[in-house]
Amino acid sequence: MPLNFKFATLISVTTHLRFMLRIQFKRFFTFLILVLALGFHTSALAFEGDAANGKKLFKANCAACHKLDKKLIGPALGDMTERRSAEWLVAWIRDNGALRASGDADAQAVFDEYNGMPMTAFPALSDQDIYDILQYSIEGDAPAVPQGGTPTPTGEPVATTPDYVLPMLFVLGAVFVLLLILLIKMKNTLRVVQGKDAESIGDEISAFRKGLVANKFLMTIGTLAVGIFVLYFAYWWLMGIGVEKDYQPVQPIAFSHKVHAGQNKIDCNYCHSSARHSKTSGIPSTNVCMNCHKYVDGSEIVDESGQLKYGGDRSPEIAKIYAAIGWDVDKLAYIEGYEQKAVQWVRVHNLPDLVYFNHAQHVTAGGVDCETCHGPVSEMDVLKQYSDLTMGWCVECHRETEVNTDNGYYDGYHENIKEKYHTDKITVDKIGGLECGKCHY
Amino acid sequence: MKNISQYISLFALAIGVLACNTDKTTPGYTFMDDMYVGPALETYSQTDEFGNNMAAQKPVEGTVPRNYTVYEFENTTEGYDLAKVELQMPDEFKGEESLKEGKELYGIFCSNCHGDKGDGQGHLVKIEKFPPVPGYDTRDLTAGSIYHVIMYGRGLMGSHASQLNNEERWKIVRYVQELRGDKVTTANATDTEVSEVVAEEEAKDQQS
Repeated sequence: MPLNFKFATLISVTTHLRFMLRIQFKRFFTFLILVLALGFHTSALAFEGDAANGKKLFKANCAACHKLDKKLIGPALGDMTERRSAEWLVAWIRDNGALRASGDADAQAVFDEYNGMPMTAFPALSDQDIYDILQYSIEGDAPAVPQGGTPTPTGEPVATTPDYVLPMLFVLGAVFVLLLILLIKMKNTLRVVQGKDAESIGDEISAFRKGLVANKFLMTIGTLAVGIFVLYFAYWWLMGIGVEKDYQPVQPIAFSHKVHAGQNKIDCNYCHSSARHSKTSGIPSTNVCMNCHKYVDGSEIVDESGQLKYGGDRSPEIAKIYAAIGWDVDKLAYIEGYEQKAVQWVRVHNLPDLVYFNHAQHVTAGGVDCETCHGPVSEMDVLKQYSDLTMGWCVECHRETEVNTDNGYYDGYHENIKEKYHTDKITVDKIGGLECGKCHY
Repeated sequence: MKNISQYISLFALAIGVLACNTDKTTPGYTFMDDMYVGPALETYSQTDEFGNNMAAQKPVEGTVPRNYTVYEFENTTEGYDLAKVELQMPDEFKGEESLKEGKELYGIFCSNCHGDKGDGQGHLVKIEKFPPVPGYDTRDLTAGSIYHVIMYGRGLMGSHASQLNNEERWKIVRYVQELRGDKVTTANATDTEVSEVVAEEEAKDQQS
């Protein structure tokens, strides 16, 4: 849209400069504002640009450091055409270093304000390209339609039992009791008809017990059955002690693996980077969170209905990271001399001290996928222990998993094992994976 | 007789109730706690021994961890410019092996934003969770400047020094140069001879 009101504005300004002497102060003031607004508007549009192409160029070249509506690495650019002339912007974007070298005070001021971090020069952009970008900065994006594909973590597991099961059981129980009472009533009625005395429920029960105690066979079977029942439950209860399968503690930050590993497809090893090198998989320190959350503050998270979950504010959960590491969200910088706090994550997978487990040995040497032991983590909003982590579970895997025999250094050794065990399949237990001292020492 | 049967049924009831620990936010019971929780400090455990109550401590001032490589360029614009010119990739990382490992590491640490081909079209950029990232070929980069940026970060990218050690950083640099189509040459050899040089060095290592 070619709009150049500059000349017309100039005429109107001079005309009204004379006119305003005669009008009242109040009216003059409103008029002044109007003229000023018009003046700014016209100077901004002293070029012709294609916003669609500008958007493309902006995304490719500028968006890594700039946003239209807020400060990022560099200043917000939505109002840049109001602050600077188009000529200045062209010169700055093309080669800001040269502009600074030419002694331009504005250029030097911006450079100093952003701690002497130079902007990349873009000599390849033509004047028209830059006009397109400027046009885009004025028009901006179409009114926001919330981005799909970012449902938020709810943190609550979905109930699997339907709601009507429990009331249904109560109703069935009531019907059963009712039928029993009816039966006794009918029996009593029949006894009265036959001319005998009616029996109370207490009489019925005592008669039943006497009959039961008299029946030695039934008593023996019954005692055995109860005994086995009790032993069965006692056994499984004792077996379950120390097994923390499905343990799902409440974490200090409502972190969702489903969002990070599932939707965002961040590799497990990105955050748990020490799993490749050390005994522990590594709880990421907050500086790793900040690699993304410097930018992602949760204000764009939408709920199921497509509304902004926090009304455009920062997520209170992500704010906990900022509080821990000392990140100033307004200045977009770490606070100097801040006393950093540790996020007190609750450990989910606890192996007893009597057993040694090493992540690097499994991840790097063994090439075992994380999911083999930790289950479908990328589907869990709240992380829980997926496997038993019992010794039987370890041993089973060691008996079944074949080892990598690519390393030529061990060829002779592997041949010996094949001969010794009369098999072509070299599993972990064949190379000592079941020796007590490998894990217990 | 009657007493015994009462005790048995009470016991069964107690077991039944205890077995129904449905609160999954608590860890449950252990047999002998002393066997589970040892006196030695675990990596992330709490302890009263140190001021900040953490078992994980930073190295004593003036010391460095084992296998630590000192990086002498500063995290400033001047440091970046200096590293770009002066920092050279050691020859040991120029072979095919580091290219292979570099590709793997790139897939873990870089491709989610920078894209599999280094064109800035990573998954996070595509789903618009992260702002667009410039492609490697649109910027003037050297091995030194790539290493420097992995070390300290640049712009919106944060430092990846805590996630990658010196060797891994160089392997990623090697792969990024491959994506850019840069020629990688050793100090005294041409491109084709690189793998031979590396093979010789490996042979020497094995002998010693």
